Amino acid sequence: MNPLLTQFLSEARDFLQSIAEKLMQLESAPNDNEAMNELFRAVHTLKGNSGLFDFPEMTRVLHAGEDLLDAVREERLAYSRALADQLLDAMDFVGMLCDEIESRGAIGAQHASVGAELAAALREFMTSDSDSAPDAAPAAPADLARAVASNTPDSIFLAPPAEELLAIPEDIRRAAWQRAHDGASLYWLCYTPDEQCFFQGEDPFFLAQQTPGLLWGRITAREAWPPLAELDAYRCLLRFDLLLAITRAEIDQHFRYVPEQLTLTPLPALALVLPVGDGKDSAEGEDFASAALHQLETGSLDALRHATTVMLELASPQRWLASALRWLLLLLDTHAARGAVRLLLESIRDGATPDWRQSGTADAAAQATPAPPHGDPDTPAALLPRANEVAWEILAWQGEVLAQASRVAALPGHLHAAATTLRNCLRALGRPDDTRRVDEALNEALATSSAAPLAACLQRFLAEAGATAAAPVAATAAAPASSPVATTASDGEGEPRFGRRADDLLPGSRTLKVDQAKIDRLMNLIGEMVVAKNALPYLAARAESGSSAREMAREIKAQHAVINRIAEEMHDAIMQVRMLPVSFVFQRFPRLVRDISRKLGKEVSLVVEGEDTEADKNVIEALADPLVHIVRNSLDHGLENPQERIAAGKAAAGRIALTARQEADRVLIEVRDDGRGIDPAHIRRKAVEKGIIDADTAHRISDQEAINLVFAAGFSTAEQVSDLSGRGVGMDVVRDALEKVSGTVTLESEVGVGTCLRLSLPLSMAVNQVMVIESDGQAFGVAMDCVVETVRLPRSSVHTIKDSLAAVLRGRIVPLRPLNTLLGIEAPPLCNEADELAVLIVRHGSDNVGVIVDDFRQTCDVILKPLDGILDALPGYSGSALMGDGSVLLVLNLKELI
Amino acid sequence: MKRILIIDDAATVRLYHRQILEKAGYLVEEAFNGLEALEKALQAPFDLYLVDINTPKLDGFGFLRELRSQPITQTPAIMISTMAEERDRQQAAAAGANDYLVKPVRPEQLLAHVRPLLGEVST
Repeated sequence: MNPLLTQFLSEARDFLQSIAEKLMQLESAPNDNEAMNELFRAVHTLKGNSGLFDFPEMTRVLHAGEDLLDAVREERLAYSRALADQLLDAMDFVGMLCDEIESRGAIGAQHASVGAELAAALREFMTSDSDSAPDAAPAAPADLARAVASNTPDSIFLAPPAEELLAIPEDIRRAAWQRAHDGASLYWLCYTPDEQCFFQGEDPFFLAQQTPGLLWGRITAREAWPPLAELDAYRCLLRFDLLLAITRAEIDQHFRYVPEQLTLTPLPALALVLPVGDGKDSAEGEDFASAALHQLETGSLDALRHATTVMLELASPQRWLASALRWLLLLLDTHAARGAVRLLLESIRDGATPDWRQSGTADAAAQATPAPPHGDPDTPAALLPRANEVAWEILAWQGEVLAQASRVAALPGHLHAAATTLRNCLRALGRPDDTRRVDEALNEALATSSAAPLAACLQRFLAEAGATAAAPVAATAAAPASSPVATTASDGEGEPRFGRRADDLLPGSRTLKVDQAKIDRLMNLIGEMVVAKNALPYLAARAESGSSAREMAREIKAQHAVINRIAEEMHDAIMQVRMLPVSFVFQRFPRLVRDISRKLGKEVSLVVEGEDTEADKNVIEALADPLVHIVRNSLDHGLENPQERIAAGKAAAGRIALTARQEADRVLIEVRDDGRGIDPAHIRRKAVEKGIIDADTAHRISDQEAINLVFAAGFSTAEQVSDLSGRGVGMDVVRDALEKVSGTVTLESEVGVGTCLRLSLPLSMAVNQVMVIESDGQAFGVAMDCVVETVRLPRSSVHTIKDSLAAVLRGRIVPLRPLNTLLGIEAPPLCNEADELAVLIVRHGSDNVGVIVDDFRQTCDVILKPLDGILDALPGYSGSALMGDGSVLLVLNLKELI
Repeated sequence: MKRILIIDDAATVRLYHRQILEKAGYLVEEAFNGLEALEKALQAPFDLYLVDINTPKLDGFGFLRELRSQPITQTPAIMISTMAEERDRQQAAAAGANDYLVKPVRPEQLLAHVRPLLGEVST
């Protein structure tokens, strides 16, 4: 990806974050002018940035948002929840587009209509709420945009009235019917370009003409043309009506820059079955139809077809009846639904235009219109047929222009103008080669200062046209159709909308923002390191010159101390670089709580404290998902409805407090709610029901132990699976996720008062302190953070209780496990000379467990690498580390082993 | 080499303009807002300023007025904005801008406006 785009995405994400924050901030303090200005500036700048790229969908939505905020800023419009909702939606959409740009490098065309819809919805606030707005942008009416977006089969009888469709020549309608029968879907598209479109570099005619799957089109004026003297030629008053056999995705793709200027109606093929001609009422029609209806009822379709063919030969082709018969034949040939045939026959009998909107034919229409739209690549007709005629008309008029061109001074200008018109017309007619003849004629005319050569040239063209194409359509067919490959973005149709929710994964920001001071410190340390390194060649020279080994050893040790200090400081410095504030995770909770509480109909105030607390990037990232789950649980199960709360004598609004603080080398995070709390009795019952514990145990355990059962695998207290928590994730997953980063979680709850979850995580995890221990001649590492102490116990003080070992240590019974047994090594633990066992006391949940090893060695700092590849599945190890002597140390995961 | 200072609060826009100008052989520096730009301008004068109107703290107009108040800092400046109204152009001219461009500016367009102000013949 190019650097500019990378920069854009990174900046865009920052803006989106700050926009969301400001929007929510303004909800509680709508009169905060400074926040309002910052909000406006962020949207404005983001829009400006997006304009540097080809992201019309994004720019459009942002532009609408900017205009809306401008109105709010100037107090033409009041800030409201609904408005904030709409803006947040729009920003989610923009965020989704950013994600798509990042992963695919571009925005899929299928987003165009959603973008238009969102922009229209934003603009609707301005049009509906403030009529006084003087410069409310020429917004696309929302219903128009909705029509664009609607793609539901319900709208099939929104088809344009029959009078409009009658403008389409019968043969084209028949062709369209055939296309629909072959599986294409038909659309009636009304495209009204912006009045100022010529100033925006748009070419509506070209755009319409190039529409893939174009079957027919016409251009009309939106309003009566003003007198010539007042006509503003640069104001576009055109309206294009197009009949298309095309897929929705292709339309979105083709018109992606102007989706708000379209009205799109899916057209049932039946709506096109409209006979035309003179003499609707005719006795022979009535007789024929009555007989035919009978044949239809009896199912003798072959007889019906035969009768129709005979009748068609008898009828004059210009008659209405003939037209109706031709349609009937086509319907029969394409195996249209019987209901449709009947309706057509009835209309022949009654001499009336068939009314396909009539109730009861909807299913017939649905059958007749094959449902699955194939995105078959269409070769577009080179021109709208009507446009062709116009071109010839323009050519003919040039004759008159040339005839009037007499004034000598103006003659060259006249000639040039006429020649240009000629060339353009010829090109439009698909005869670009003939423009050379025009150039020749123009040169001759200029040389002789007479219009005659050009006029003669024009006459020749007109004469040729008369000879070759009485019907201009022929010229169309001969035209070299420039056929743009219809890009079938068919994958876009079924894609979900911008399914981003506040609780989804963090946007993939891979840029780390680092305080300048941290980098400077690292820079200084590198400088020191370079100096320290320079001492080594000096030492080497000393060794060569024959210094004593003892002296050398002393100097090397001294130098080691220097380098060691620098390395430690560098390590610390780089860890600082990796530190992120927890606000990185906390920042999305205001939005999450707002959205979910609204959905649940609860009132919740969120209090966030200690956002500046820092921890290693990996820890912070590992925190995100569990925390979301916990907060959702609080919202969903912990907090009561306002009514319940009032009944319980609490404030209507619940409270969730999210706090973070640092304690020694750990980050403590607390999620506290003042909801209904967890009922231990309920948990006991549930646990027994689910077979997690038996009834006896349930009676024996303490309330706290009962509450802790929510962390047991497969335990979920939710009475019903709600929309919010129905993700199949229980608290056991939360616990597991935290344990992966050596974190712990504890739960306290009091019925009726609230629940508090405490998460404790290490500050950093890139470097671990491990203790090296020995077992059966092999060395293993054990993470220091789970080691409580090391003791040597006389063998005699180890007791065997049932099948397991235990010892009394400081007045408490500590269960003992020989490491050899845990690892499946068949060797008894070794004792030292004093007949003592080496026991490593480790934390296991809230208890201590003693692990019997052969011997302790030193502790050291290692960089722990998780096992990967095939070893990844190996339980019992948290990773491997490279030791100073080049050997590899396997680090045990005692939590899993015990 | 001619030195140009880009003043814009949007990093993307700064990078965009920087890429165009550096490719054309200019030395480019950036400033986030008018205040920062003033400081840079006083440290070492530039040959040209590209000024975004809407910047935080001190906006483009303010920056230009300040710049024009000192006889030693009469460097040419191009104002760049998303607003295309005639009123905005006049305001920019009144504040002392030599030229006015509407965002987004195409590369060749930017260079065509930059070169004459630096006394170079536009190609």
